Amino acid sequence: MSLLDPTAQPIAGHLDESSLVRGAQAGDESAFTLLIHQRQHQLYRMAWSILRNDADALDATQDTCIKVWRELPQLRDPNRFDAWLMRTLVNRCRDMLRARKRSTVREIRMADDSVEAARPSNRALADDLAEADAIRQAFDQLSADDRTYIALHYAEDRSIAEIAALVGAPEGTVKWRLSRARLSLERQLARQTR
Amino acid sequence: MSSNDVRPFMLSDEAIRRALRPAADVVAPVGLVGRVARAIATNPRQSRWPHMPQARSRTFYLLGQLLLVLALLLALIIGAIIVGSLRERPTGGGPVFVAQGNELSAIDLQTNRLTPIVVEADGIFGVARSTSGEYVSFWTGPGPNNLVVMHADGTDRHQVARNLEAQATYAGGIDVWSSDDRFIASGVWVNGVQRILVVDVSSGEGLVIGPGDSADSPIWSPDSDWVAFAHETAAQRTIAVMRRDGSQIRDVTAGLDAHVSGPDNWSSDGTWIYFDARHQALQTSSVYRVDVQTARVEQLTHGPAAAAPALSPDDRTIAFIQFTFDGNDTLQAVFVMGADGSGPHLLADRADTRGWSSDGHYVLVVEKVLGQPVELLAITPDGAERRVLLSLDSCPDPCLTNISWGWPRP
Repeated sequence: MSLLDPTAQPIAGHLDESSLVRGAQAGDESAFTLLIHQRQHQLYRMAWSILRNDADALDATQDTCIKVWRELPQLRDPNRFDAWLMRTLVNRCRDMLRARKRSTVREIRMADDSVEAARPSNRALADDLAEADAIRQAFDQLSADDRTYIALHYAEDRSIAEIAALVGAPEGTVKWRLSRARLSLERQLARQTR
Repeated sequence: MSSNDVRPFMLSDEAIRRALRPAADVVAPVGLVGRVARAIATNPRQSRWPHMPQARSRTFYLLGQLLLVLALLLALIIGAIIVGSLRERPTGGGPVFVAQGNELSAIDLQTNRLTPIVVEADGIFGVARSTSGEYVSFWTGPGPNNLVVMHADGTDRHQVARNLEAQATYAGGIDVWSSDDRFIASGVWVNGVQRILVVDVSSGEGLVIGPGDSADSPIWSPDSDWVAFAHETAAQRTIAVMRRDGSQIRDVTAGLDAHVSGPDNWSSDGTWIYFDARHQALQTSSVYRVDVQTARVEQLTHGPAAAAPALSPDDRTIAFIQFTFDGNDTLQAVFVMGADGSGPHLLADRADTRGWSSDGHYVLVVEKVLGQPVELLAITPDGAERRVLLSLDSCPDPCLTNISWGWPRP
């Protein structure tokens, strides 16, 4: 089986994960590629949930893999590879969102106009599809941190404990920030439908 | 309460999930792994010259390093002058312990020096300095499952709570030492349920206590006989108290129509527990205190959303964070007010609190202003003195949460 064949089936059951990580740490590119192959869809979907854009999700996933490859020798416990990988991806997505916000000031204004034009009525909101569309528009206007917390919890179904591990925060902090992010989403939605 | 704090729209969890969950066909595009494979083949691991692979760049890199060394020398000289002028100032009651990654360090206010204490291969979580400053505890992996206690200088490191039959795993909260340094309380997962681990420091023995449904965020009563904690059921999240052995559990905020975050401080006379809660009907967060004996609750903030109250060791002042909405974003600032809610005033804008120093002289604040370094500050409650303890070029949220100055903090 070619390791570069995206249609090939993972062979995780045949190889010890820790051995693969150790091999990748020692410079075995095939071992690292196999590790990524097994996780590519999970990584991409998580990035997509936060960024909601195919090209950005692809960039975030690829950037994360390269960063993790370069810094892998610093990982002391191979069993923490997955947690470290996911955490690096989440941080990369947040950085991209912040950069996107800084570089698209004009676009944001234009987007506001388009939101105004396409503003769904209260009646339309009763319809599930329109409501979902409005929620997605509101989500796009949130800050990087708010987006991340909402995406991880609602789109990725991550529990509070899992998010705490991913972002490296106490669970109480995650609960509070998630609550605040949800309030921001609701406020944004109210502004769109005003 | 300002109109900005009202919850404008009631969305169901399911509606958000339906809108945001990626479709089933959102999968990694064909070729992703191949692109990664090609990229790593052309991306060598970091060498002695990070981000500077070319020989010419190395020269610039060396020059930069030389300038950095000169700048550090200059900073040391200036630091020595400043230290001389600070000798008479309060020390904060001993060092602040800060863990970043797998390294634990102590910051001494008297010398303005950050001293590495210990490096743990499996990371450091839930750092807690004892009240006197003699000991420090933390969790380490893999898991992280092991609770470690040692002297503040890094000696006599040993694992505690090894007597437990069921594995207790760190639940991500803030561990708390009793005021007499005899006990540690920690929120843990045991068999899938959040409970409280109480450790007798002298014997090293641990005891898991708390109701069978859920208990987290413990704090100690001033006499170390009781533990207050957040008790979550399907219907409500309340503050409850129990004896140190887990007996006599009693909810003290059951009558409050609000979702509490958890107990933050217990006044030194034993009367009040301070906490924040989110009011169910108004959908805004406020700071409260409850009389432990009578269960009488007093609301201490009535303005914009407020949270994370930190009571000073002399019981007179509360530091807390306040949230305002400027039309685009939620702004967070640190305020202080009297213990009865009187006279709130701004202490630090764009900031978060990490509680008080154990001598009550300083409020520990993380200030994060866009485009400027993130700073860990010690600020007197009147705002007259600001001391920079750490300055970081970047610090992704949540920033500098693994901190302890020997006084329970939110």
